[in-house]
Amino acid sequence: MPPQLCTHCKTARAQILRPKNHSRLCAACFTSVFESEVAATITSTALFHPGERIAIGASGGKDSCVLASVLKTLNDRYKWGLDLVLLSVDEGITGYRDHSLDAVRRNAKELDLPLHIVSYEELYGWSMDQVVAQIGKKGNCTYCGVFRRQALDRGAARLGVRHVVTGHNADDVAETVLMNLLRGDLMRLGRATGIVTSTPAAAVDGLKDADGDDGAGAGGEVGITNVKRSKPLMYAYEKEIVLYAHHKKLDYFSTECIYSPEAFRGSARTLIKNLERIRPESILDVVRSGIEMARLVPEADGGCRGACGAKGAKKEVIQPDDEDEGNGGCGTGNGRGSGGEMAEMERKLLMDERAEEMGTETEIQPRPVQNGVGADGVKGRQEATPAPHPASTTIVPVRPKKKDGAPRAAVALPGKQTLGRCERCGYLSSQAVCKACVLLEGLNKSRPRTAIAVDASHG
Amino acid sequence: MPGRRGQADPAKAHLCRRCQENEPAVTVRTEPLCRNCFINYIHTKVVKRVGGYKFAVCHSTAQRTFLLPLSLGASSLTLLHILDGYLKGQIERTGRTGFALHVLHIDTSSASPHAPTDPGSLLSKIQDRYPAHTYSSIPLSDILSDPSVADLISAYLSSAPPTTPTSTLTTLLSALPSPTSRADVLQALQTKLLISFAVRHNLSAVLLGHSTTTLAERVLAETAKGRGGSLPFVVADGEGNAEGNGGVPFYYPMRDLLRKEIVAHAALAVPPLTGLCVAGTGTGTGKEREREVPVSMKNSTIDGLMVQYFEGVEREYPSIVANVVRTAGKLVGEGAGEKAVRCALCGMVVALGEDLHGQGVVEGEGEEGTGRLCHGCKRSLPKAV
Ligand SMILES: [Zn+2]
Ligand SMILES: [Zn+2]
Ligand SMILES: [Zn+2]
Ligand SMILES: [Zn+2]
Repeated sequence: MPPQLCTHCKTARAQILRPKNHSRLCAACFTSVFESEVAATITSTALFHPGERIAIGASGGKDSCVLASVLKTLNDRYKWGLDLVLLSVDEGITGYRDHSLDAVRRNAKELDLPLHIVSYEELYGWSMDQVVAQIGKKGNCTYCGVFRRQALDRGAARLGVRHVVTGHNADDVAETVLMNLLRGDLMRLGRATGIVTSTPAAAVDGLKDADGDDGAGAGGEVGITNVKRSKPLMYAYEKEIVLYAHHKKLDYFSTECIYSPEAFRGSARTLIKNLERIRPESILDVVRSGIEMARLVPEADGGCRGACGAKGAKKEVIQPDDEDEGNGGCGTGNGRGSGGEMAEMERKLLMDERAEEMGTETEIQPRPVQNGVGADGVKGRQEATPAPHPASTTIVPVRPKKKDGAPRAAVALPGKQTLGRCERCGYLSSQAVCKACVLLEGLNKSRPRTAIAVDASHG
Repeated sequence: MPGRRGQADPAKAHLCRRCQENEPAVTVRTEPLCRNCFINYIHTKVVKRVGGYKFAVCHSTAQRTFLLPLSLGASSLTLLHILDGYLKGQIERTGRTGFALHVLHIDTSSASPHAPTDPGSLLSKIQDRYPAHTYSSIPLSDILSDPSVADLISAYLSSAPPTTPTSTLTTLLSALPSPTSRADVLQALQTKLLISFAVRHNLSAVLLGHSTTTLAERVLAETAKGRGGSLPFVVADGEGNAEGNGGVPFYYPMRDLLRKEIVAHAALAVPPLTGLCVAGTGTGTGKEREREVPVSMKNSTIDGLMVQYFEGVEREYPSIVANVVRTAGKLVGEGAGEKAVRCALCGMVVALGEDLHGQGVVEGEGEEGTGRLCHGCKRSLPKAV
């Protein structure tokens, strides 16, 4: 039998079997098809505007390395005029991050892009090694994720960049979809498949600092709450990213994070790996399902469901004090976590069930919606009662309480919480104090350290 | 759930949590129960659910008949067992029943190597034990007399049209690209046959033995097959899913039970149900398996993977199983409207013109009316090359 030919150029020998559609391509056609698909993702979603400054969240791993390489290539090829910079976070994980940062440095040189590094140590006063020494290995991914989420924003703000792109791929997104189904997190399910995962605070009416600052400081400086995130590789298979890196001879750091992922994520990851083995197309099918489900999440448009009409409305969502999900550094670790999170949820669900039966349901009320929430779901708060939150607020839906009254009750709309700013550090938060500050408080209790360094641009 | 906890007598701590008289036979969601209390728990869960259905109450008008599909696994048999008792109770109290049952077994033995062997003898034993109902058994190939299915298949098997329904079915299944596709198409055809049987025999609803575990499996399986938009219909109970089922509502009266509870009940029922259904061997705890899911299936199909996955979750975190179903149930189904194009195989609304950004696959492009498939069905039944 003659060697199979590339279905694209029909001349070269096929070397690559694409998981998403079984087509066979030669290496040259594969890299060019891969690039044009990423370009199509970017143009069809109008992800960038000409001249935009983009920080590429660079971990040194394959995903962000390929993202940087592809963006650089496309920017040159299509003359998009993007101002690209690499932004790395140094979590302070010895034996992992120091090596991966070397890879980022080599990438920066190779691609001729400027590189900026911000460290947990300088931002929070704690490196991950120190966190682990303090709390042990269980649950440290939470710290890592929450800290990284802010660190990229803070780093971007320092650089005056309003848009950070991350290397999340289709496998990551599919994993997040399944994970949120498993842990019953409807709001995150609604956000999982948006290509833009957060929106600048300024885009939301009413979310302004007390002094009327929209998050951007004077003189065009960018506030930490004014940085949007997107994931241009969200339709690209992890396998193809590895292949692309291989054929382009990219230099990346391949050791995975030594800390194990949270139990629900670990469980979802195992499922995704098995699904891919059984039917490779299913990774993108899960992503597709996630997109369909996102449209069905009640109130997922932040109150504008139906009103604003646009299908694409869903990509403009807020992600308050979230953790950074499954990419770069921590969260890429393999295997299952301790299972503690699943056991904890099991206990909680069982308690809810018991309470319901006993007829003494101790309803945990969603945090009361504070003052006039208009039909548009966005309204400033009149300070009628002393509120824990000093800043003006925007109403955004948050995860629903897992308490559903009678079984199969009518659709329970997710509770709403108010989104404002952390009173300690100014970061977007649905609570008075953001997750990072809460985690830091716990850490600092036993060993007092410095507080979060507040940006000069945001004072 | 067993109730009446309260002031437990320490001397009785080892006894059934509910009656505090008998030795526990089984542990239900961390509570040890005796055989009687466990059986009571199972029946109560189902009867409570059935009692909530409007149709269950006696009407003065003509009695309605419902379709009860019997797979010969523990779940559907348990449903028959409980409903049989429920209807007997209605007769005792009121002299009449709120509804009647038409029990149907679809024989898949020609299409699936995993189908029960000798369904006939099991069926006659079941009929002997529950004689008050109408029974039918039909081969899956009967679905080929449905013109829309015949069209679909002849389009797929364009080259060599087989002669008999049975051979058409086997040819079709063997031509499908993977075990997942075979299992998926097999399931879709069975559902189609249930609907057409119900319509033909004027049966106004279908009562299925799905446990909450089954529904959770389906939630993740349909997600993995690219049918996320159909989840509100997958987990809806009764009228809420009729739209996708040709107007025939599917009810799941056992949806408040876990599979392992149903399996445990089959062994503890008096007399046991285990001799009347297909006893799965499965993994680990052996008899705690409702149905035979061969290891090869578990490793090679999406449905099998989800069965295996939830077997583990059910063992360690049973409330999470129910929570997956509850979560999917909070999604709000989009009203399809009259003009919606429905998938010729699964009946779900086909999303036209949908594209994953930059992926170059646009649904519904260049396809003609009748043979239109949804994304998930197209994956299982791709155009023959
Ligand atoms: Zn080629
Ligand atoms: Zn804070
Ligand atoms: Zn008892
Ligand atoms: Zn379909």
